[in-house]
Amino acid sequence: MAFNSLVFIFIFLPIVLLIYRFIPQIAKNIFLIIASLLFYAWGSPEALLLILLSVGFNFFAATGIGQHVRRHGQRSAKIHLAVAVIFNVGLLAVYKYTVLGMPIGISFYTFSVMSCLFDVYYGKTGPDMNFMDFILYVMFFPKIISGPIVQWADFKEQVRDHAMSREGLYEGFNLFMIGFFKKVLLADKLGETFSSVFALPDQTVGMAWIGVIGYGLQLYMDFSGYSDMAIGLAKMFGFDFKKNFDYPYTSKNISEFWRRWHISLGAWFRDYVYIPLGGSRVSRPKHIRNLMAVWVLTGIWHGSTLNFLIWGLYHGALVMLDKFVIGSGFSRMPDRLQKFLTNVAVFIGWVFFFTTGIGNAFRYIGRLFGIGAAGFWSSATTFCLTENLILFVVTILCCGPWLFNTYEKLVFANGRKRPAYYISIVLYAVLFVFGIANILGSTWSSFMYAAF
Amino acid sequence: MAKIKHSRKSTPGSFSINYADIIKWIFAVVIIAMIAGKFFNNRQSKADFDDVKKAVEKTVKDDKTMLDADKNMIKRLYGLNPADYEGVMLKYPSTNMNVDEVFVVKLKNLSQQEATVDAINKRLDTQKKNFDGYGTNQYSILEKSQIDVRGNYIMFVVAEKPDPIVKVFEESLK
Amino acid sequence: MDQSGKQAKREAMSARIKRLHQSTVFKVIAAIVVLLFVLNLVTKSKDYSETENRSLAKRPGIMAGGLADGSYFKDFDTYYSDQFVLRDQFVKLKFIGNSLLHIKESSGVYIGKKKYQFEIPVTPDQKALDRTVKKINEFYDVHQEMKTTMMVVPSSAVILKDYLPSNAAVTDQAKDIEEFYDRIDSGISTVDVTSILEDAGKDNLYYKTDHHWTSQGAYKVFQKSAAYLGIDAPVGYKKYLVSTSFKGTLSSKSGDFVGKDKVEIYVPKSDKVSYYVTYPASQEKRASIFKPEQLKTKDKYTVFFGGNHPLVEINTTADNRRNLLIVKDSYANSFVQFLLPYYEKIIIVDPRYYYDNVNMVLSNYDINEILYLYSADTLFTDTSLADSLDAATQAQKELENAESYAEKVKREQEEADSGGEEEETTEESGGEETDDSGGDSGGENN
Repeated sequence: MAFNSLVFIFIFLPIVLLIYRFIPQIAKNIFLIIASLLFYAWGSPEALLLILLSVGFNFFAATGIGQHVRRHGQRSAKIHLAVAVIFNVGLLAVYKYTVLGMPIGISFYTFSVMSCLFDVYYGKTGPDMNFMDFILYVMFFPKIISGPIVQWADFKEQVRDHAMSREGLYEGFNLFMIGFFKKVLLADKLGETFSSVFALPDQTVGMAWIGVIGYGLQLYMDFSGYSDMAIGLAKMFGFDFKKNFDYPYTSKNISEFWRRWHISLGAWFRDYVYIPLGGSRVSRPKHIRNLMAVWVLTGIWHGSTLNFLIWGLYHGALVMLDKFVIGSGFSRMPDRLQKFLTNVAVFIGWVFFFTTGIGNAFRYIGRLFGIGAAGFWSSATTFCLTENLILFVVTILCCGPWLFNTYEKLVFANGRKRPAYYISIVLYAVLFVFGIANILGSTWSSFMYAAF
Repeated sequence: MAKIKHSRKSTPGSFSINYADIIKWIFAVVIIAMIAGKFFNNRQSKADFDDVKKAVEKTVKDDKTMLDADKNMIKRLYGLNPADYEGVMLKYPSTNMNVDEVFVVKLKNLSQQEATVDAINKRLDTQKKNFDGYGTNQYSILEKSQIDVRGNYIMFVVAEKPDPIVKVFEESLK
Repeated sequence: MDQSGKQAKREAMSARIKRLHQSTVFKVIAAIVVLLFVLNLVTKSKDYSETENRSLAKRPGIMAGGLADGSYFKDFDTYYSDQFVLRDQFVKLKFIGNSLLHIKESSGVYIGKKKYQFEIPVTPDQKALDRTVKKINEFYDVHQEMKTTMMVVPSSAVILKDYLPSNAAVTDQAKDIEEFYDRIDSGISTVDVTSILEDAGKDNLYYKTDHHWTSQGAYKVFQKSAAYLGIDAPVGYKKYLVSTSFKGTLSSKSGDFVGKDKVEIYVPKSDKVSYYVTYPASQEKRASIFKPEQLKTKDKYTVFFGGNHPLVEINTTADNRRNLLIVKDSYANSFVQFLLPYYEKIIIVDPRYYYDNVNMVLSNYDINEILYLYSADTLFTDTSLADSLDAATQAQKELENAESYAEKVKREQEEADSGGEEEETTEESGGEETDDSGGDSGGENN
């Protein structure tokens, strides 16, 4: 099941909210587990078996590590931790790199279970493991499919105390709606028009840039929209998850970009790879090694082909350039220029995401700079632009806090219900209906049978 | 975020296992078995299509009720385009009274598996519908039919005794 | 109150309003969700979607197998969205949104000016096209005695390019058609349909919501191409309007139901020649090529013949021994109405559905003229025509070889009779293969 499906919005979520609201406190977590199992099985029952086995394996692995840590200290648990981590990574690698299809959410839940293993090992949480808490942690339906990657310590703190409050319900729902609009009205639409740009022969420089901008905007809206929906849903049930995106396209340099993009993944690599390896508090060569480790892993986490590895290394190189070479020189430039250059670098990086094969990737990047393109502009390019222009403008407005702040000022600042207040409510309703229309529209199919 | 606790001194060379470790290994073994099973089911045969075809044809050469199908007949009966596959062989009933049929296909890639099996099932359903109520003998032969999916090779056989034919098919895949 | 106090008060009020806003948004949208949920429960399921031209999914039954492999859930998703209340209206809303966003392309269809929709013309599949050219020429080689004509009709995006959305990119199909004509045998007369249509104005040549040409467009082409077909004195036709509410394949494909078309048919004015139609596959006989009952369905273009058939026989009372074979796609369906007075037999074959051997058709119906009539979009990606012609050419060659073998036996026999010395006649099995020439040409006509 997905958050932007009709069955989720009209059947699953209302019923789960209703039942959750009225069942006794002791039953609430168990109910969430059952609901999450159904949510996951709806996509693929076969994958359900695997994730349950993984839950079983990791629960006992974490319990074992906890026992070792408590009885004999951290060092005695090291081998057990290593073996469990290698097993999880190996399992993920088997599904990623062989002909077996990837079970849904495996990249996310593998990192979740490993977070638990590490947190218990390092003593960030107590050594006791409760099975119900753990299975809810792994399977919790707001985050099981696409994150954010919540760390075990953060979840364990809330798992007994979380409570549905009116405030949380309303605030969470609003966030869910914002994510819904981002995904269905912006990301999906950008995706539709983006694919037709690609289908055209005679790619010009202009088309190449329109394509990469469209993709970068779509990716951001899609991922951050889905994260918003996830965090919003969690909040409705009383869970507080940290935000996963913080206006990444307003970053002034690459290091800042990675503090704003897919924050939970960056935090995971920082806390469980970078810092344990020594982070930046080691010799320069070791520091570089640590950075490389993180970026290689970031690359291959995103995808199983060479393109993603190169993308990871690309960002790693840029980060090191920023840290060791350019440093403060860059920050002496005007803010706008810094943001512009950072975005150019980031968007060029996205080319590795949507092309297949390194050849195509470098050919596309070449076209961005005029190499191998069929001219700079063409009337077909104008067509691509006019198809996407309004979407681009609206999406770009959503890339920074400006739109949001202006909106809040217009609607809330006065403390009274001005016309803007009512317009805003109507706007939410209208956008929601358009969202449903788009979901139904994408299930539209017509059989072009023999009439052809 | 809690501070990392300093580990207590542990006795050097201490390696212990507790009950939790043992149980986790049971889960690990189950997972590995599950994955191994998947690989086994999906493995692709490197056998040459013509060799497989010859082997199967030899087994049924005495069955005079079947005809060799050309491209158009395969399209008509199964709705599949032979050009989409590495190799297709079809022997179909020559008259409306027989049902003996042998269909062997080598896929170009595994993603075709589902669609091909669907087409075979559709063919079987059509035949069953044709004989339902009329030819009880033919209908019972159709019920005995077998679809054998072996990764990139698929066989569909309708015969009085399908097992030996299936066996020859599977042997030829090695 | 001092400044900071006022500030704090203002912020508290903002926060309060924000909370109120959030709760109202929740309640309003929850109300919409509940309303649609209830409506979905109470409205009956529909079996068929006129607008999408397909049957709609029914509620799946709960079976262990379906639950285990996940097909139940997928089917349920499909069922829920297929049967969603006001589905068509929601989809319409999506396209209103699209046009607000100035999105002029949807699912391979351009939304153009004056409510015209355009199929994006295909770039030819070079491999398939090469083979098609080869097989057309090979077939012509073994049937040079038959008058063969080729008509390839360009897509509406080529002729009506002024109505395309501004700057829409369209492949140069006119050039592709020209190149195709150059490659086929010079003995086949080709008709420059593109130029005829370009000179025929813009109105009513193609449908706005369907990828076919209109009867008027076909008529204009007929008038100018009659000479090529050997029709010296075309008769007059009376035009009839049979529908004003045709919404065709393009609006179904794009989902955008702006615009609708009228459908016209042409009937020869003189009733000197009458005819009847036979559909061998369904054993149907009709007194007209038109099927008025189709006008009640969504795809009103099927008023011509009811759509595509593997084989259609038209026998007329014209006593001129002209027997025409039309090898075609659906564009020919609305062209045949003009050909009726001039031939004794018109046999129509659609290679995409006709699995028997076309060579048998030639001999069974005494064909002496052949017309290929295709839309460029179909022809440039099609493989069935080449397959069909190939099988027919092979059959013809075997026939010719077999005859020469029979002639050889006859000659040797005569020599043996007249000569004196006994000559050995080698016996070979089966020069002529009547039971499986081309696979399954005998017997079943489908």
